[in-house]
Amino acid sequence: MSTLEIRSLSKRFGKLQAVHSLDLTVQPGNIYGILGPNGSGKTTTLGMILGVIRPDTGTYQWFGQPESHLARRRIGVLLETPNFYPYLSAEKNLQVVASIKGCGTSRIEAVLKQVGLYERRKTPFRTYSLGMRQRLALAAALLPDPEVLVLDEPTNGLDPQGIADVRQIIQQTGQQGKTIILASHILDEVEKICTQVAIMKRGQLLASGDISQVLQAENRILVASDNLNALRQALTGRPGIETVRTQGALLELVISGTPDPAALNRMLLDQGIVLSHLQVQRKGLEETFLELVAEDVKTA
Amino acid sequence: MLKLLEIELRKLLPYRSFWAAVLAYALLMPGLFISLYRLGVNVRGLQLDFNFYNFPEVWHNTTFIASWFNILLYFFVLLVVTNEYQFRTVRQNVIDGLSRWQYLGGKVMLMLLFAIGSTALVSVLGWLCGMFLSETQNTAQMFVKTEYIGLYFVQLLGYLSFALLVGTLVRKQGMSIVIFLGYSLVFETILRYRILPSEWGLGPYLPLQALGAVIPNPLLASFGGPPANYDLKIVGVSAAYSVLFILITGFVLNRRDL
Repeated sequence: MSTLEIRSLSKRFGKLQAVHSLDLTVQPGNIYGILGPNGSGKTTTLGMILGVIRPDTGTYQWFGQPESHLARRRIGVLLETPNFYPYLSAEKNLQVVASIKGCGTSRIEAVLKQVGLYERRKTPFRTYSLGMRQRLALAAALLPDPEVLVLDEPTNGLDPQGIADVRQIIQQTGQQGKTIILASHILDEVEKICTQVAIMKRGQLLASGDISQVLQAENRILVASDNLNALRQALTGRPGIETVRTQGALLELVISGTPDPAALNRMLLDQGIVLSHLQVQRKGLEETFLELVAEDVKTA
Repeated sequence: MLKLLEIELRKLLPYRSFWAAVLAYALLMPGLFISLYRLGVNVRGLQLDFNFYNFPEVWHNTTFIASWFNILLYFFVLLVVTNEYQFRTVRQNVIDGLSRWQYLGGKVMLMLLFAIGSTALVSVLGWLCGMFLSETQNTAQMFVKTEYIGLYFVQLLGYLSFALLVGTLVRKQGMSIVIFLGYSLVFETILRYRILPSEWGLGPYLPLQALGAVIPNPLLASFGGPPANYDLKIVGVSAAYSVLFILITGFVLNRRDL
């Protein structure tokens, strides 16, 4: 049984197709990253599977059950900006959450300590800084000791210490075998925490799967010679060379498999081409990601 | 349903504005009752003295005077409902695991609590006024016209349901007050007296016209006007409006993105 199963979910806001026929499956124990630039439909998707945004078409199931508010009580959620009653203290706000979730108030002290808000538990929410608000939202998400955590930009507004704290909490939770769904536009965050990833852009899924497969670092070799045209001809269509791109005075080769610069050099010498430049480069995830989302979504 | 009320009370009891409203309500209403005792009016040199608190008229008179305070509760419900949108906590409540109907159920329970509390207050005050200030202490007369307590409840619940609907539709505090005043003072009046042909006889059954007429003005009778009796049809229509307002609120809530 999947923890979450999304089937062709779509949502349009006026002229904007915010989410377009999205399919996604999250298995128990996954730490699933939803990665995409701002406005790619991440929050809309989460809003739909959490019952606050009505999908135009499509369905979703939590824990293999049809849509129900009861499923949401088993999920800890931090969605966008933290929403609390400003006149209530952290403690009282969590009491409201506890009575909605039906989870009892016994863990309130523990989660407030976990996020570092215990000393401020009696002061009203309205006096909190952005970072403290985010921490309280995380405390609320952790309160029912949920099977699933859904986090939308959880480190938003936090200082470096806060970011480190939050990531640690997420990782700890993941190590307990819980399922985590993390939406973020920060690649580094997803890369550090997640095991699976889905990449979204303009409401569509570009890729999904194990993070090592989706965000594979590709190998590239940069070469140059006096006669760039001859060099390009010699390289185009060679087995093991996927693409040849011009980059200023250099040619960029995308290599499948492990790059072997010595073999390449020998092969070109045999053809009478002398290289004036030969450089092996590993492309970072950052670039792969940017490239992935930069390509226009053409499939309708 | 009690669980839903518990959630609402957890939000409400620590809220200072709530206690301010309760205090204002509980002080102003008896205050007005006391100040109206043996009201003397001088009309063109003619001194008229009234006692509103004679059994059995005391029930009609006190519930009518108390209904002036409905506006306080009305605005408080508007505040509570629009707050949930201002703080975006309605969204949070649903994410946390309330269904939209449950969220509505909590608000309706709260309104019932307000209406019951207010009705209880008026009953006690009316009874006290009668016991201590009535010139007639005939036991047989004491419980005549106590149905006005029921009418008071129906009327108040109607107003609060209307506040629930307006607050849910408009979502913004200031705007919802403007819309309420605009609708009740201007729109419905024009509709009743200028647009709807009077021979259709629909005017008195417009929502706020009906609600306003649930307890007819008894003071005119006190001043020698025609006796004011309630109209069961108006009462029934008003009760139906409460149900309608709550249902529309539910449908709006259910369709909308939060």
